[in-house]
Amino acid sequence: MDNLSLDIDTEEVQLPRCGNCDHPIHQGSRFCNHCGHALGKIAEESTEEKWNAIRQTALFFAIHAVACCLFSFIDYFKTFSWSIVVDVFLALVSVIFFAINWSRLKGVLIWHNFSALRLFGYCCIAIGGSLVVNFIVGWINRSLFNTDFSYYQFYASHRHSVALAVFFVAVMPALFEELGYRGFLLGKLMLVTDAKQAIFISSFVFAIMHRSIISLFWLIPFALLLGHIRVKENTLWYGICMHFCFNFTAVMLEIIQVRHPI
Amino acid sequence: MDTQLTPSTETNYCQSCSAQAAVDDQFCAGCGYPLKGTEEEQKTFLMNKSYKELNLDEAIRQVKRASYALYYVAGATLVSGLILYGLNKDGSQSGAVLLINVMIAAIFAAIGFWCTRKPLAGIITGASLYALIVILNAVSNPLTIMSGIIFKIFIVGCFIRGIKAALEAEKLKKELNIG
Repeated sequence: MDNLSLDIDTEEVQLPRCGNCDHPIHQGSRFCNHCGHALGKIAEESTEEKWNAIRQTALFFAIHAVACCLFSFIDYFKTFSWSIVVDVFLALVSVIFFAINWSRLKGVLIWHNFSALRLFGYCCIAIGGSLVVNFIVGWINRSLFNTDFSYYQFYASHRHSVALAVFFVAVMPALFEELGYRGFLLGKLMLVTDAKQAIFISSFVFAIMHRSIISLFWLIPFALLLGHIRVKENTLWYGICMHFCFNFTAVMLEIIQVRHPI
Repeated sequence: MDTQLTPSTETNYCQSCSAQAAVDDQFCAGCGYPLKGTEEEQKTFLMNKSYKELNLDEAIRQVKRASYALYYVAGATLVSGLILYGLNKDGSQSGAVLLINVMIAAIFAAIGFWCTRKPLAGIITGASLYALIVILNAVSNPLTIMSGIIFKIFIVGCFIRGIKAALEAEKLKKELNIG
C-alpha cells in the first residue's frame, strides 16, 4: 500500500498543475477537471495578443513595401546615394521592430548548440543553391528577355566597387533581412499561428518583397529553408551565414563575369 | 484508505462534448462542462456553448467571404490582364504583361484554395500580395489608387474581417473542443 501511495505521489508531482487551483492536470487537457479553469492559450487575452502581433507585422510589411517600391519605380531614387539611404533605412526598420519585441525575440540571437560541421553543411547548400539559381536565372534572362541583370553593375563605376557590392549585396541583406524577416516577422507570426504556417507566410512575404514573379520560384524555397532552419535551430545565425553565402556567391559570379567576360 | 489511493478506473461521458471523464472529475477536461454542477450551472454552460457555436458559424462565414475575395481578386487580375492585352496587342510588352497577370491570378486562386485548409495563413498571405500590388501600382502611377476604389475597399474589408474571424474561429474551436 505504501508503494502504491509513493507511485501516485511521484506521478502527480510530474504532472503539470492548474494555474488556478494547483490541482494536477493530465496531458492534453484543455480545462482543469477540478475547478474548470481554462488552460493554455484559450484565455481571451491571447486573441488580443495575436491581433496586436498581426498589426505590427502589417506595419513592418507596409514600411518595407513602400520603401522598396519607391526605390524601384521612381527614377529620382535610382541613384547610388539613394540606394544606400534605402538600405540603411530598411536595416533600421528591422532593428527597431526587433528591438520593440526584444524581450520575446532576443533568444534567437543566441547561437544555441553551435556546430561547425552543421554550419559548413548549411553554407555548402547555400553556395550550391546560389550557383544553380544564378545559372538558371542567367539562362532565362538571356534566352527569354535578351538581357543580363547584374547587381554589381550598380557599383561597378565606384573606386571600391567590389567591397561596396559585397557589403550592400551580401553583408547587409544577410544581417538585416534575417533580423527583419526570420527574426521579427517569423517570431511574431509564430504567436499567431503554428510554426509551419508562420514559416510559409514569412517566406512568401520575403519573396514577394523582391518584386519579381520569376524570382518567386527560387526565393520561396530558399526562404522556406531559412525559416525552417531558424525554427529548428532556434537561432538566426545559421540563416545569416547561409544568406551571406548565397548572396556572396551570386555577387562574386557577377564580378567575375563583368571583369572576365567570356 | 484504499478508495482514496487507488485511482478510479470508472469513466463517464461528458454530456456536452462526449469526451471520457473519470467519475471523480468535477469538470470535463475537454470542454469545461460542470459534470458535478447543479442543473442550473449545466444549463447555463450548454446555453453558452450554443452561443459560441453560433459565433463560430458566423466566424467561419466571414472566413469563407475572405477566401471568396481572393477568388474575386484572381478574376479581376485575369480580366484586367486580358483587357490590357486586347488594348495593346501590338505592343512590345503586351505578352509579358498578360503572362504576369495570368501568373498573379493563378497565385491568388491557389491562395484562395489554400484558405479552405489554413484560413488564417491563407488570408494573411493573400492580403500581403494584394497590398504589395496596390502599393506597387500606386507608386508607379498614383492615379491607380482611385481606380476601382470601392472594389479595393470591399476586398480590404473582407481581408481584415477574415483575419479577425479566423482568429476568433481558432479560439472558439479550442473552447468548444473542436479540431
